[in-house]
Amino acid sequence: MSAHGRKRGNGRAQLMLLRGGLDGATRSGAVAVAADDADWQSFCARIGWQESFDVDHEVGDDYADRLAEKIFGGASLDGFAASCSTALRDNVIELAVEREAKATKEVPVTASALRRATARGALLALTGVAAAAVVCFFGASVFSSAGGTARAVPVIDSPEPALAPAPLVTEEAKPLESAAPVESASPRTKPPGSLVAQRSSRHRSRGRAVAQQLGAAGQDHHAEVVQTALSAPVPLAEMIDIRPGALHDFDGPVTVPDVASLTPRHVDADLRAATRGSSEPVAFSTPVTSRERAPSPNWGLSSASQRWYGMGLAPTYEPSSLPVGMAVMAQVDVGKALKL
Amino acid sequence: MTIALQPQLAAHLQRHARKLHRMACGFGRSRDADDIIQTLYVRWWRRMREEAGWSPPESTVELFVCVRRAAMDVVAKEQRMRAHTDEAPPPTVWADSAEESLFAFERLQWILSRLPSPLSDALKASLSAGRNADAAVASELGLTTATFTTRLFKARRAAEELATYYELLPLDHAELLAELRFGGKTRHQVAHERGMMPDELLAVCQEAAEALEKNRKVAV
Repeated sequence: MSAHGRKRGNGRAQLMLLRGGLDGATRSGAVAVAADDADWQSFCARIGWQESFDVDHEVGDDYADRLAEKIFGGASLDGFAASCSTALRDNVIELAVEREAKATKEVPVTASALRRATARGALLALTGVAAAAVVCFFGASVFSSAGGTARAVPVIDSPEPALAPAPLVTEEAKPLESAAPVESASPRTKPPGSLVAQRSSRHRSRGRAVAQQLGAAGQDHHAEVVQTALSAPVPLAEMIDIRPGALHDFDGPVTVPDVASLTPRHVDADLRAATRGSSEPVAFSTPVTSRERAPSPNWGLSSASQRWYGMGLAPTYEPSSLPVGMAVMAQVDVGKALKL
Repeated sequence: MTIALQPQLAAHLQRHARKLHRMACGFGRSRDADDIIQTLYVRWWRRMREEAGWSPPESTVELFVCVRRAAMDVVAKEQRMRAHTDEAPPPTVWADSAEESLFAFERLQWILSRLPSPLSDALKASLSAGRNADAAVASELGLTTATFTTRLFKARRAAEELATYYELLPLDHAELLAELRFGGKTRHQVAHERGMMPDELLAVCQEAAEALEKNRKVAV
């Protein structure tokens, strides 16, 4: 309502009431907004955008908090982060998951479990190659000192095709075989630590050789992965079976031979006993857990799968640079290492 | 997640969670909007870890592009799965996925990629932020509200025209008309790029225009 003015004709003031239009403006404004919203909605639908005016109401006021809890506080991303603690693991994850997805479609495992398992396992397999090289040097040294033939890794020399399924291992074995006599010819009267230093340098150079081989085969990325993996320390406790059939037992206890209890004296005996008169590798179906003495040879090919090699050895003597009782244990999935 | 990175990402999430959710829903991914957002944050976390000093995008248009990329990955994955199980009956998880969700997403992709960049940015920002945030979006784009409104109006008209091409024409004709109309090129340039003579291009354009008119009448 508003006053229009005064009528001055006869001197008497008259008040005229006119419609202000606020109510009408409100109604027409609401209609206009609704029409605009409808127009916008139809436009969005036309271009393929699914506009929803109720999204904010649907998600609730605490949506950001809930989402933050899910992302940062939940197990999903934590698990992801735990399995991707290095850039190497990120790369290996993608390769391993793709490969496992192709190879083991029938295995009912969750993607996250597979991702974690394959990533860690692939890393372990790569590192196992390096550790196996060190073990082979140990073995060569042990056999040469015992006067036996220089056959550090009988599995590799085995004529049975089933026992030597991996060409890369065979290629790796050749330089080892040629190097073994040289190693055995070196006198044991060298100062403690010198042999370890040599082995260490060879270990590193072998790592580069593996990487170069892969790189020459057009797998530069994988070579880089291998090179990085060889320099990454992996705790023995993480050396587990990652074969597809064993994924369900992924979180189970890990049996690691107590190599600290081994002494050079019975290591020689064990290795000779293990390889005497036969080229058959000995399965380590009974893990060595005793601290007193190894009840069975602590190296060989797994009875469960011919892809898996394991070896645990103590050095032939105690170098001054290493603590007493230190030994080497390696477990390698050669097939998986080859695929990489 | 790395402890040093978590607060930064958590703060980012607090600022943009609703916007990201709205974008994911806009792309037709309301079912797995949370998963898409989580994927985004994982990617950002990895990027932050690999590149020191990098921080997640803050602007609406950048966020729009990021969400669209993540949604594209999901769509591609769904299409692969669908291709693998073509003969099999559709699983129940696709019951509310809606075929048209994929088609709508492809249409939006097609339209946005053919809009001129300023118009495309204005439209993306407006779609992402919602209808009632024009002032904030204009400020973010460094425009006055009036300029933004004008640009958005042009973008809407252009997008509707492109949608008409997309709906009513074969794809090659639609692309040709879109390029001529919004590509910022002359007919000679377009003809040269397509390896056509100008007369030939003109004939194709006329054919496309006639088909458009005919289909438009049929649609009406």
